[in-house]
Amino acid sequence: MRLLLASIRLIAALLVTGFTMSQARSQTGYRLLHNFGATSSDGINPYAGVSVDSAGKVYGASYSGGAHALGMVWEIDTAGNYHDLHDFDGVDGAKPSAGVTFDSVGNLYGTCGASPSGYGNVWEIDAAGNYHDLHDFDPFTDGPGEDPMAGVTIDSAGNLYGTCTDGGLYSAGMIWELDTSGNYHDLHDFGAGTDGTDPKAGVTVDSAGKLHGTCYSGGADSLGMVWEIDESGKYHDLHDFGADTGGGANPIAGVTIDSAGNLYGTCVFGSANSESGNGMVWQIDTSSNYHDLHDFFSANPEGANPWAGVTIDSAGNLYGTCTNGGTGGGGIVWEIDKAGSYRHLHDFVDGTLADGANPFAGVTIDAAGNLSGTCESGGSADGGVVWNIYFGGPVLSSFSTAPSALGGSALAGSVSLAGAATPMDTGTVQITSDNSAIPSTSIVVPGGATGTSFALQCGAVTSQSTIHLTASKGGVSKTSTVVLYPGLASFALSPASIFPGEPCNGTLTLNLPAPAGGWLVHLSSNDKKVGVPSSVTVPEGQSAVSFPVTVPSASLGETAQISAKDVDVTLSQNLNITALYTSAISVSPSIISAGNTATGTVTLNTAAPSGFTVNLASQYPSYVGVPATLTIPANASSATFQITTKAALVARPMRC
Amino acid sequence: MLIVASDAASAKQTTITVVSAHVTLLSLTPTTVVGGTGVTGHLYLNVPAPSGGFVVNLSSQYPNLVGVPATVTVPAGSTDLIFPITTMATSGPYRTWIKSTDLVGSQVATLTVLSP
Repeated sequence: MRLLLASIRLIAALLVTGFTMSQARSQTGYRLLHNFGATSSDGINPYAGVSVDSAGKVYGASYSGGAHALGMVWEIDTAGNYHDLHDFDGVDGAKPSAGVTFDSVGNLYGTCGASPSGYGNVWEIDAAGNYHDLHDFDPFTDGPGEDPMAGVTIDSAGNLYGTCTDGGLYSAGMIWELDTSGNYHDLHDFGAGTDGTDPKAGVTVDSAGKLHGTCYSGGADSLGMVWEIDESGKYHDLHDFGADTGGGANPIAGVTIDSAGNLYGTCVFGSANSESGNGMVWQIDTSSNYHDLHDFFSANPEGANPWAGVTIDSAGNLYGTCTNGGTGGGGIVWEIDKAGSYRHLHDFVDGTLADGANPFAGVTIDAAGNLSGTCESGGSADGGVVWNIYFGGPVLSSFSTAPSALGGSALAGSVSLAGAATPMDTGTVQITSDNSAIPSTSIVVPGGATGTSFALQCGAVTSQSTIHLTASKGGVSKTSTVVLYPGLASFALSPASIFPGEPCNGTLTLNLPAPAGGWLVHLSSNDKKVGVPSSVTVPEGQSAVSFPVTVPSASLGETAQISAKDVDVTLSQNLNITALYTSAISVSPSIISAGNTATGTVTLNTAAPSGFTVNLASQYPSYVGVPATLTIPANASSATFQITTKAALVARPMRC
Repeated sequence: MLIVASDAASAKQTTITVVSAHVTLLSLTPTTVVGGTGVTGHLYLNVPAPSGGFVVNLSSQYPNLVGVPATVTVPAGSTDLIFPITTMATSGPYRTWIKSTDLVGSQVATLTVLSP
């Protein structure tokens, strides 16, 4: 019979992820997606693993906690946000130890170990978010079956399958079906003769419609067994665990089928090695031969007691967890690659709130090939965690940046991935730089997105710098070359030499048009009398700006230094202020008789650029008259004026 | 007397001295004559005469013996003036004076008139 079954398995469909491995994978990181129990209404103690839908959203159920402390259903969206989808209240179900299963239209299904009947139920949360109690197990009113520990499996027609650990015709558990019309069927009652008993795992359906599963106990050696129900509904015992049949005992997890039809699973106890007994990984090949793939040893320290089963990627690598053991004592995530090499991907650290501990559930692989699961305890609130081991997800597809930028500005760029990033895949693109003016960094592509735009903050540069950036993800690298320029290219004063009071303008020119928000330049003068604005902003998109320089008319000759400073450089220009002032006054003759006139001469220090007006005053204007002002013509350095005196008003010579 | 020129940056000043014109010296040539002989008077001002000229009053101790103009005007811009003095024949020698007077004061010059 087993040869027949093995041949059938050869055509079994792959029931695991569709992720395609194209190259050897190296783990790039581990992270926690959620810490349960941080709030009083959050779920705690997830025994079940996670499910990931096609959009990348992660679902699961917590055995306890929630608004009524009776467990709940949760979701982590593609942006990584955690949502409470349903809180079990004891009337609609309670204490779900199994996880969530999707159908093709987005409805969620699961089971609870307790229900209004007291024997558990099957529930649905439809795509609109409405909760439905599909079936209450009740051996007295609705046929046999009690206490479902495993979740729901859906075949291609939409029928639901599962097991009950108790009840059934022999009170040793059973296999049930809810057809698409909602009718409940008892497919098999465990416990007759040497049949298995106490099926803790659920049902696996292959593409031919055959059902597969395990029993925790029973079988020929009472240490559990592997069963199958064929297309015709006939039940078969595929393997009985025991020392005489290759080791292994008491499988809690169910069956996983690879693309070739081989069956895989774990036993929580036992092993082929008599010194072990901490569980093992087994395979039943398509020829019905039983193989011990790995024995867990507690002394290594290795993992121990794998409650969860095997997950297979399309490359044939196997993944799973051990609830106990490992270097941290909190269990492990393990991998057996296609070549049979075993390794730990993660050792959970017990006794610390920084990591989860004791994973009862197995591994889920998302579309990007990353692994996730849950721990029943540990985490920041010691309520368990959702963990994630990522391998990089979709590879980098493109990387581009602006070809140039000003030092101190933001460099615009974008990255795109070969596929959509998911919460399981951090979507992190590493960007390395050969110049610290643009520091190496990482860009996160949000979950569900295939790319993102970003702005890298550039540091200051004092000279033109060519920088090479390399973006990498998933072993694919792309480069971009960026030229960073100092902001200020030039600074000019016009005119550079002025007479006091004359207008002057400063002009700043940038190496590139100003970025968004404009380009701020601080101004200063080393001469307090020479006024400049404290700062000017080159408008966004513009390359230059002008500002006034004010020099009071009373200034004497001097050279003022005007400085312009941006984040990159400081440029300075000298402003030569040529003094213009009255340097001398004389009269001729210097002695005159009252009533006579004299000529006064006002002389400037240099020729006036334009008419320059000098004020005149006499000590005794009643006796000696002078004009109020004298204008020295442009380009002249002196001018004369007439001095008049009042005739014969004094009796003696008067020298003032 | 100060005159000041100023601008926004500096101020400069100079001094001008304004004086009243006056006779500083009155001289006669000759200072001794035989009566009936003419004499030349010479006035000197301290500064050039102002515009309009400078008027000086003249007087003689013995007008009947020595005759002078009552006034003379120093032309504008001039600093001196020559004027005529007449004498009459007389019997004895006489020592007499001629005086110029202006706003500031007087100047006196002596003349001796001899008999023929």
